[in-house]
Amino acid sequence: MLIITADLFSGRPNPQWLIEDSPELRATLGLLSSERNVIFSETPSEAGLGFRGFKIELLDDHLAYQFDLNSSFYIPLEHLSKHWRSNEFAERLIALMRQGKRYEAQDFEKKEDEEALLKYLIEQLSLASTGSFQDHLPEEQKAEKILEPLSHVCWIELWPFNPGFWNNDQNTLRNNNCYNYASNWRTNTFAQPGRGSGHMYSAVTCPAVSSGALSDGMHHRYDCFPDNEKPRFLVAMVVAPGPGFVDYHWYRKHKEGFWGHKPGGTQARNVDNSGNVIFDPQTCNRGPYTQFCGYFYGCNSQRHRIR
Amino acid sequence: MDIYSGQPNPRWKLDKKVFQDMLEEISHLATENKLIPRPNQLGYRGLRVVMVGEHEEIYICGGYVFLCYKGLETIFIDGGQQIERKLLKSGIGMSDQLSALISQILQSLDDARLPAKSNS
Repeated sequence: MLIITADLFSGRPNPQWLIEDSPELRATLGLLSSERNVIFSETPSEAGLGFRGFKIELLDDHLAYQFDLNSSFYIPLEHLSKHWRSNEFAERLIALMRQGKRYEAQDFEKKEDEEALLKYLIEQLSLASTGSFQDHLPEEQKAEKILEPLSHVCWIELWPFNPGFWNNDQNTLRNNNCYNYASNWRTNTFAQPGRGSGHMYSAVTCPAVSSGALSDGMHHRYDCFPDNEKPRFLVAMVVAPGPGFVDYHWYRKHKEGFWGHKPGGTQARNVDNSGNVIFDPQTCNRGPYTQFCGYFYGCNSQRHRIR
Repeated sequence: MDIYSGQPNPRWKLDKKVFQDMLEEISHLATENKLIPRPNQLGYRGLRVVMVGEHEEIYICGGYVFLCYKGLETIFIDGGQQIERKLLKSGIGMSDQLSALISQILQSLDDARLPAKSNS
């Protein structure tokens, strides 16, 4: 027998479930004992607000002995453990909780609240796995919406910042640019907007470069892509208008809330020309790239198309 | 020229004599023992000289020359960015667009050398 605590609240005590001994419980503990990298001694220090993971407390020493586990341990979700099987264990634990009994529930909590809570946990797990988030149209722009066929909200994917993928290999570093980074697709061709779809930009201006990217399959922001176009990244495009220095540049938003970019054949990073972490590509220090052209969504078919 | 983010960087073939003179000048420069990070900001970053078919490279930027040979990097001090200026000037005349760009960069190097103007 054991107690599972879902670690998700900030103010209220976390909900707990009492789990009786069962073949399903033993199967889960057996898998855990052979995949020890998903087991932590306590909550990871970087865990923030929201659903973070599970605390497991074994109530007798026999299960602990049989599966060689400590009397209590913690299983963080994948974004905290960095282990690809963490959320699979999370799903198994939620299934066990469904079979178990709420432990020390508050008087005001009803049975239907419990079902809603388990449903919420499954949803959170699903969203954490896909990295999907809602991109809301700001309130002040909703009034203008009737003029354009735009949605109030689109689903997008925000993936973790992973500069090593772009920086650690010299061939990848040199031959992939900001458009590769924004599309999260390594072509080793210094990809150009529109080249893959046969409509490469003919001038380095906001409309011309945008047109190339749209031809590759990008959409303007709030022109939603369906689920079968995952991953749908939120990206931003800027232009250095000259005179003399004329170029374009792209940024991509990450799960951590900041924006990443890769200036040409240099290293991918999340800071601007002043060394500040980029939380707003419209206001960050962009050097000579002074024109902000707008936000776009990339998608799976677009990134496969770029050359 | 390491300058662009989206478009391919401009490049030109270096005259053999300019290249040999540059190597000669580098051989007389003082070395820098500290680890100097290469610039990676948006905008003009520096110049990369590569020999066709070779993996070795010379990167010139911000008053330093990074000489990479057989996996080892030696950093030299390019006082007054003289080598960088000479190399930039070697690209003038390759095309109108490149010439305008180089003139702009040379001007920005000169501006950076000037002492800041006082408001008083």
